[in-house]
Amino acid sequence: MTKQKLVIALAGNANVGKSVIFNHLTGLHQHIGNWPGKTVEKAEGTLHFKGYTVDVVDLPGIYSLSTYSLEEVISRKFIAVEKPDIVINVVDASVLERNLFFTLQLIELETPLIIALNQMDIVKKKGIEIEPEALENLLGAPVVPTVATKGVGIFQLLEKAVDIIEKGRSPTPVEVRYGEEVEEKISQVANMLKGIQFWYPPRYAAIKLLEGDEEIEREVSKIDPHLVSAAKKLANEIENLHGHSCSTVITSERYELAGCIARGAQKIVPPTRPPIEETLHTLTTHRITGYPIMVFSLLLMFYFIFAFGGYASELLTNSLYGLQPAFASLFGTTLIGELVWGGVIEGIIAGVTIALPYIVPFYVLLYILEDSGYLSRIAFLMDNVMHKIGLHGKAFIPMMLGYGCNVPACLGCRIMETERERLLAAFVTTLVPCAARTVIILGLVGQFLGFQWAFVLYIFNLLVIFALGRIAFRALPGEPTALIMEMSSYKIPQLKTVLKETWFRVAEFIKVAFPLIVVGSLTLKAAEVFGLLAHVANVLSPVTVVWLGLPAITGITLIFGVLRKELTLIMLATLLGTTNFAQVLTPVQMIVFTLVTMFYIPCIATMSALVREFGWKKAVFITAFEILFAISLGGIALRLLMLTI
Amino acid sequence: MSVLVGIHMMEQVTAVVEEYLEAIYKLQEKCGVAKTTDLVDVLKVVPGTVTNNVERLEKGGYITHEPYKGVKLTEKGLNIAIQVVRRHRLSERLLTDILHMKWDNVHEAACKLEHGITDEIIKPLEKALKHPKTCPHGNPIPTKSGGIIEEESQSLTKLNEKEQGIIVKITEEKSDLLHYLNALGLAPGATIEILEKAPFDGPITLKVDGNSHALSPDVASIIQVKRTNEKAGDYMQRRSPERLEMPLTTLRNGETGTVTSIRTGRGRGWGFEKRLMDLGLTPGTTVTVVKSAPFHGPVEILVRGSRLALGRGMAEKIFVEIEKQ
Repeated sequence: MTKQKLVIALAGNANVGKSVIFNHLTGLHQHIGNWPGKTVEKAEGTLHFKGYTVDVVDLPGIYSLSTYSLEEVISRKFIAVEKPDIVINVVDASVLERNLFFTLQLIELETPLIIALNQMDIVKKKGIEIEPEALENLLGAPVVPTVATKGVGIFQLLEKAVDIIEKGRSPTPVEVRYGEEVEEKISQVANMLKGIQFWYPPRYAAIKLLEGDEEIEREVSKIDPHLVSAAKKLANEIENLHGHSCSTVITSERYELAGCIARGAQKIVPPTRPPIEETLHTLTTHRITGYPIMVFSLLLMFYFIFAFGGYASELLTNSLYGLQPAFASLFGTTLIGELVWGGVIEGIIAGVTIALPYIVPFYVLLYILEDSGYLSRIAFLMDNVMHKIGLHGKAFIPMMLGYGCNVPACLGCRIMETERERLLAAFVTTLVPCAARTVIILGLVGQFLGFQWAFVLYIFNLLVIFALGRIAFRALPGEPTALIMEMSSYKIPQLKTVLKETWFRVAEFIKVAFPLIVVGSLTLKAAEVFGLLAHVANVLSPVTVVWLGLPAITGITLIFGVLRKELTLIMLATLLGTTNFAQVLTPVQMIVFTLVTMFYIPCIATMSALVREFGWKKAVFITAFEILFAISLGGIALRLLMLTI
Repeated sequence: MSVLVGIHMMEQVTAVVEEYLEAIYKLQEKCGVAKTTDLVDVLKVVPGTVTNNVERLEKGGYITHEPYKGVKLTEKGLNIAIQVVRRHRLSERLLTDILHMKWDNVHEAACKLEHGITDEIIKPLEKALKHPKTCPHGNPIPTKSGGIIEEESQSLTKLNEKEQGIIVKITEEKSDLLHYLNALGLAPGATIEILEKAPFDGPITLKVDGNSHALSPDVASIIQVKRTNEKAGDYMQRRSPERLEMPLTTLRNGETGTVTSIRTGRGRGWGFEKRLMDLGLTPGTTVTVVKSAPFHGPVEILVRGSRLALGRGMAEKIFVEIEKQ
């Protein structure tokens, strides 16, 4: 072998410890991006081993190689077209049967394969005994037992993988054979496919055609549409024979084989006492204890974020603004100097001091929740509520993210299955008061009118989210999809994985948000320096003064709020020349002002996230709608409050 | 409230709207599109009324109307129509199974009854009837989520001489015609044998219950049969409630069943059917319901050693057979 560069792909179900193995293999040499042109994440890393440069690609966690989701199509294409030197199939040993179902599909793709039999520690707790050698014999593929969280078996895994590549030939895996009638049809279709240039092996393509796989049907019909209809006819024959659709028959039989292999390799000795993970699961999903536990954990989480965020924010602000004199002495008080400081540097400082202190702990806690498995329990408990706005339980996760920052929340809507639900979830999350809006709610209403008013506003916000979500759900064509989610066993979260995930998200946030913050604040600063702000305030006064009953100066702050919401309050203090807002604003004005800032626009970073995920048209529509909605709401609230007070 | 639990959101609509949507649905099933003239016939009203109502339905977003072609149900209209059909067919079952009326008599009464069946009634009704799969005429009863499982059948006219078949369903619902068929013993579940088929669309002579009768091809075409050599008794037993198929959601916590089918129905749910299969819910697999979240929340199940959470709408489409003790 002269090849010095190797490509290894990691494939397997979700939550099997793939990314932990990936982290072990690649250490710090990794980056996460997107698959070209797709909204699916691609994690890649490099390592050096025995003189080779090994590229490791972490494929998305999937349950099957069909076309249910983009992830499945991408993974399949990668394996078939890019042909990695070897695929490491990470298998959750504690759910062996279902994982082997995926393994069998990899075998059908005829890719060189090695199995990482992971989570061997959980297996023991569940009372399952697995003999790796037996599994190896039954599958005909090398099996390496691993406990990824403790780093056990990773080296052996890599060594064996490279060993197989060096030998040039992987051992012959088990033949995935179906019932006679099905086999007959498979070979008929495979014969028809012979001689056709195609990425997929003929037998695999034949099976997929019989299963009615849309993507492969499309590809084949480009070459010869008759093949597709011929395969359809054969599939119908199988359907008539079995009384179930051909894809059901094939899936069942594949599972049958997976079950057979699993039973051959494992012995189940149910533990006498339910393990602590089970008890924890029962408690956290229980109809009575589940909800208080959830509310308590979430409150605790938000308390911690705000306590930590407030402290860190102050610390950073003090130290960064300490640089101003040094800067001033360098540039003087020239126009350029003012623009650079006020426009560029202050923008960055605001981003660093206000957004990051809240976002970083938020992500850390979120990934702890996710890694431990608790997030899926929350989705289970909240499914019913989310259904009322046409979403399912998983949408609660981006919504929660929204309380930290709307930007990652919009990006997080990718976990939803359909485009329609992604859009719906993103719309709802832009209405969630993020940390910045919380600053306004607590800093203005909470501080000057009392905590109960802030609380009322939060509840009102929830009601609005619910109502608007419902209207959007009815207005958007299409049908809601139901929750289908695995709840894997509770695990102790891996700090390293958590920190790594956090780092990637924060980096993503910085990439999306910071350029905009700088450009935006530079523009505004320029407008201020050239004395355009007063004009703006005047132009906006019909809305701000007449309709909303606010001081004209708020028009300017509301525009600054487009950059980042908390700027509305900070600017207000600057422009009014006081932080004691009670002197300059009436209680009603405070409430109206807070209401408008709460809803009026997704900030510029959120807007760019929306554009990136859904395109200009939808992003503009959401923005325009929210501006109109917030202004109408503010005016109505003013008139109602005037009546009652 | 409970209306919102299913995956479709139902609006409250008037009995007239329901009646129209149902009629359009049936015509559409038969000929692909419902002509307004056919609607006049079926609904027994004057053409002007139909024109007015069709306009109203189109405005309400229930149908689309192409002049000179006919009307078609929208997704929204279809969902309501299917639910009306479901209530109609369950009403018929109520009349035959519990009130012991004759099956050839119940259609008209059910037409009135169906509009009074609210969502509170339908659940206990379905339970009391032991989750029937077909109406007394043999037509499938749509599931709560709108899935329709058609049993495979063909028109009686397709059978050749000397072939045997079992009547699966009768597609016409006019009572005089049904009385006639019933008098001949031609009811769903009856075994027939074709004795003679006269050429050039002549009458078909068949044997049922040991007697032979001649039917015109027109009448024969509304009888759907399944070509078979099994005895009628076997067939009815297969459909009898002893081997009851029921939605997964009817299992109590801790109960185990065997998956028989996933009925996402009508193509649009295919992706989810495949997904559930990929997660291991293939026919013949045992599933255990662990618990469900309160207020009609999702269901937690154990299948092939993994723990899944399924939205209720999804779980309702999974049919299981309870294991016998």
